[in-house]
Amino acid sequence: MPNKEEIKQKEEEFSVEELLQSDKFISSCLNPDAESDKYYDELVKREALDERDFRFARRFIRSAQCRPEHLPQGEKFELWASIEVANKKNLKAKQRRLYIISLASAAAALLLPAFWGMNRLFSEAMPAGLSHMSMEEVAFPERTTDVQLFLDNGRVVSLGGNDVKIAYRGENIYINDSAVVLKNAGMDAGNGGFHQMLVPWGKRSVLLMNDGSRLWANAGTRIVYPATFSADVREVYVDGEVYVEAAHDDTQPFAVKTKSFAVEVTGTQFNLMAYEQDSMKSIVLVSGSVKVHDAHLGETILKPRQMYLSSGGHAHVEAVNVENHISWKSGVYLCNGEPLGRIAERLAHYYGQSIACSPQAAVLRFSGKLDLQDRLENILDGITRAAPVTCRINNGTYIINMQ
Amino acid sequence: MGFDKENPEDDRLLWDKFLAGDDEVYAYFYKRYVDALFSYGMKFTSDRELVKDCIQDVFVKLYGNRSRLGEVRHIRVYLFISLKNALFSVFKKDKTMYHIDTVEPVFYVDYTAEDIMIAGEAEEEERQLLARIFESLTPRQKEVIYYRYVEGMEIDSICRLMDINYQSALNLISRSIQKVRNTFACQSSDGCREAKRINLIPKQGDRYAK
Repeated sequence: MPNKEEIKQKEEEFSVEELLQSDKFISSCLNPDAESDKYYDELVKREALDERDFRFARRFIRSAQCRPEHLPQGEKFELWASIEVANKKNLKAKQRRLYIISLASAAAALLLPAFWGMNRLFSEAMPAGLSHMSMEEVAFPERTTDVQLFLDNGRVVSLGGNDVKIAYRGENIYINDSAVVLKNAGMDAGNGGFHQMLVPWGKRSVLLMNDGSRLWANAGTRIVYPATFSADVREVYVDGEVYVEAAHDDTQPFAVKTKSFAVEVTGTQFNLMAYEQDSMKSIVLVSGSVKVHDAHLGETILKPRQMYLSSGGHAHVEAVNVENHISWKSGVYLCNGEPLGRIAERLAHYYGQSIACSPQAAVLRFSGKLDLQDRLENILDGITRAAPVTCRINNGTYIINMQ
Repeated sequence: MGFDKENPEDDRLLWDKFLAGDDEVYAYFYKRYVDALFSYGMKFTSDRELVKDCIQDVFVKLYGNRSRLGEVRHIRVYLFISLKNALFSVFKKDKTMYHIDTVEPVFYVDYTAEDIMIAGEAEEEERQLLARIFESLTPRQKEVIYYRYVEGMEIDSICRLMDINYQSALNLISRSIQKVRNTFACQSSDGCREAKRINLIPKQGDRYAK
């Protein structure tokens, strides 16, 4: 056996430290491949490398590995969503105009409030190019049982309670009359994007905007709005039902956009119901005047006490009792000779439950006042007392049948 | 190991495409690096939301400053530096919130990983011993070890991330290796022999030893 000194003279000779300072060796440990394995095996065989040194250096690198912190897919998705939103907002700020990109048809999968929908989109859309997502596509987060506020800086605030009041005042955001105060980052950081409020089924919320406008959001509603309104238009995006009291401003119209139509006003009160998963959508004007732009049906101007009702590609205007359509904002549901099927549908929305009506029961007309603060069981019980129907629960679905 | 090899040539092409306005490449950067960035950020703080905020900040700035950015050799390193800067600007702004008794954020690494495949009990014992030794390194040593042996970064990149010169980086790594080796030699079962071996063999070829 040749003595150690002799081997040391050879060109390819490594100590532990030299191995650990070598890019090639590190790379061979982190990304093992047959070629580099062979290379080091040879060195060991030729005794240019002490096997124990080699093993130690390898163990050293292995031990330096630490548990990676995982960002769950959902969070990764949300984070990307807020990045996209912030980028869009910044671009818009540059272009000095604000518009909301219409929902791409591919977003249909997202309309399911189910988490897998999000995951699916994430995994499918990521490789091809996330950049195609428009704000509405990406910004639909997972529904929880709380009202959630998504700020443009990516923060998510969960708010308990059935009636949550969120007020934007100056640079602050007040929750339930200042119990919690958040900083509206968009105002001082200059990287303002969109905020989003997500109201789960069975809850309601009031949003007070900086311009003095108020939006009541019914159960299952999502509102997207800029951290600060642009100078020329106050624009919000709605999926769900809102009652709007727009502060009067002739120079800066207030516009509510939905997937199928947009409503533009200068100052007025109206109710808008446009759940993206429902075909029937309506706008009921309380006072003032509104212009409805429907992508397919053109422009319609409403007068007070009129309802614009669109369903399946048709729309018509009819006179209505306004109170019936806006009573939900005070926690009451007024029905005036409405078919039970329609009432069940609204209750299902409001409580986030599924209610099925037999065809015979669905056409029964019902008038009365339902207290939406009450439990759904009690309301349904009340209905079975007032009408000749029975109600039972089967697999989580309430089923209403004729007696 | 969350490391995948980057080709500098690929990085250059991707970066040029990004500078030319390719949004798909931008999305690819996020997809490719968000996990590594998150893992890295979490070494400085346990505040997940803060790390996420800072990652957002990094990507939003990257997008917004696109027209003003110059050449970038390693995209991974560029993003790491950006994230470190973003985190440290928050730490500086609000020392009380994040660091009660230290001025600098501590680079904290959890070496108790379970997903490393090593066969045999003896090896497992050794691995645990090594993990304990790594725990005892200083935050800066842990940081440099992380760049070099977890992220597989070149010395040049480490210099930029830690704002030190080439020789200092080598020395820092060298001292870390020595510390691990010596402690291991003293504590392992065949420690005595190992210790002798380390001390007796002259360090002629050991260019980087202090």
